[in-house]
Amino acid sequence: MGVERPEDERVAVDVDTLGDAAVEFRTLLGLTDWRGVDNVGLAFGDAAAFDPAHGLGDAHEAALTLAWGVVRRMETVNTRFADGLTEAVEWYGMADQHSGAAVRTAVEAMRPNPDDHG
Amino acid sequence: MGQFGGDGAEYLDFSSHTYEQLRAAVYGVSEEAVRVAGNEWADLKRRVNERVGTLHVAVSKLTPQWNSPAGETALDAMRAQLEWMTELARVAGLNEARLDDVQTTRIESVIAMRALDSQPGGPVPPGTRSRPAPSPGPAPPGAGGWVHPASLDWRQPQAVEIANQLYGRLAIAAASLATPPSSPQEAVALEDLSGTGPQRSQSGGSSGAIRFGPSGLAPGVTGSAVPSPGSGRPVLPGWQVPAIPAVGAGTPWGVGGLPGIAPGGSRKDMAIPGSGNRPAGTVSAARKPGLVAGGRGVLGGRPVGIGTGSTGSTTAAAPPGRVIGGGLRPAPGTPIPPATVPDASPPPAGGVPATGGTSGQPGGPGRMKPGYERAEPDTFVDERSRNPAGGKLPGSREATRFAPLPGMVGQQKAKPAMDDQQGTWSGSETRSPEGFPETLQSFTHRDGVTFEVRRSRRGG
Repeated sequence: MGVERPEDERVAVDVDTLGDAAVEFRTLLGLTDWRGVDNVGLAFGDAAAFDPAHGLGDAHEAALTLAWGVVRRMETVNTRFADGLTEAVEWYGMADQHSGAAVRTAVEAMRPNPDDHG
Repeated sequence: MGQFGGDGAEYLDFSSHTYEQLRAAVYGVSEEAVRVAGNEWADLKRRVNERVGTLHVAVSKLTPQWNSPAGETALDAMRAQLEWMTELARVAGLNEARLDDVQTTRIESVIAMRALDSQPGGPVPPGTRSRPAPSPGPAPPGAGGWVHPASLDWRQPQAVEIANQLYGRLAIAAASLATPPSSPQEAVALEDLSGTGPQRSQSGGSSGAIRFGPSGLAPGVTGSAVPSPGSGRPVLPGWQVPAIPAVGAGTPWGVGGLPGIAPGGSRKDMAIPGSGNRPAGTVSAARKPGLVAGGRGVLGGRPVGIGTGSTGSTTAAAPPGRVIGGGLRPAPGTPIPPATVPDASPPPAGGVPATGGTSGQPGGPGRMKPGYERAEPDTFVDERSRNPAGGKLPGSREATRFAPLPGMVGQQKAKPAMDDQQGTWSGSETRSPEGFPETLQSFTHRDGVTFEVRRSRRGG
């Protein structure tokens, strides 16, 4: 593949490596299959009338809810990584541009979004 | 009712509950609920760990190729994501362990309660003719201190202990459930803390939820606004984490425990590998006399040439000790002068002085050689001498054969040299009774009785 590179270009991106990384990032998806939010709560039954059991149920529910939110944010970031790499690979192969541009494309796609972690 | 404070970790007291109430409290903790909750965290840990491995591989592939400022930015974002996911997996594992602790304690408590249930209740234990004991706990609020005698149950104090143990574990679990960092930056910040103390949750979570540092649990750490001396770790102020005992440690129902319960965590005979702790009454192989430096060189009961062992210190840290031949052991790294190095000159006349000998003639072999030296031949199987310097060693004694003396029966074997030595030191001699000859032969006693010595074969 004919690639024009500047003299000081030190980035040597192999399109196959990019493709492999994109595939691997795609396998990161699906973390939200862990449906923790559906199982929130420790049902202690009669024992919930006692404070320690009630406290453990509350703490567990809170931790699980927070973890569920973290998982969803992780899924968002992983999706953007995978999409960015996939886009970079496609663009790199089609436009036959030099590798630095492909990296910039991927980086732009992966740039953290403040909304992800809000 | 019982008194509870916070999540119930303090002032936990079930002593005012009746036996039936305590029974319902113990059996009321749902096994299914605790198991499902633990599995939930275990499932999350497994899923995240799988992805951590995948992301790690992807980052490793891209790192050598994205050697540019833009590429480094992307890689940093990936590494932050990796840290975040790793932290989430670790928190999920911690919470799974906490709920496993609850499940273990629940099982122990149910077993103990069943053992109590199997015994007949009543004011006094069966077979006891004493008067009913007063109520062991404070009276319920509003009861005016009066307890109906029919409600007394001798099993109530033990049931209180069981409930306290179970609900104490629930309270501890509630206070130690961890929450994951909500962003990669927070995960990195936790890494930068380089501390081990759990962090109070900043967002969301219950009052009891805490966040752990990268290295996990730090029970009993008190918060401080300044780095604690010695640790250098900044700790968020304003919180204190109760000490979390090991599972099964310190069962409250006495030394013997309740029937059906084996107090866990009481294995005093086990030592943590690498901790340097060693159960009392045991000794490591390196400290056993006879296993140190070939069994030689024990001066005053202290092994020479090894570290102290149990305290974890090594020879390098130990003060110089005495060495064979007098003087102090040279410090580590000190070159040994040539004069102290054993040379290969021929041994002095009369043989090599015995290393283990404590007596004996000058120039002669030691009296009390160790057993392995006595058993070692002078010539090996390949006909090499055991003395590599070429000196002449006194030949090993062959078992002396001799003709049996009159009166000897059976197969006489040569006595080992050890017996000779013992005889030398024993000082006891067998003398013939008065009127009998010193030698074994036929004779006539002075009272006229004739003693005749005959030689006969066994069985003949």
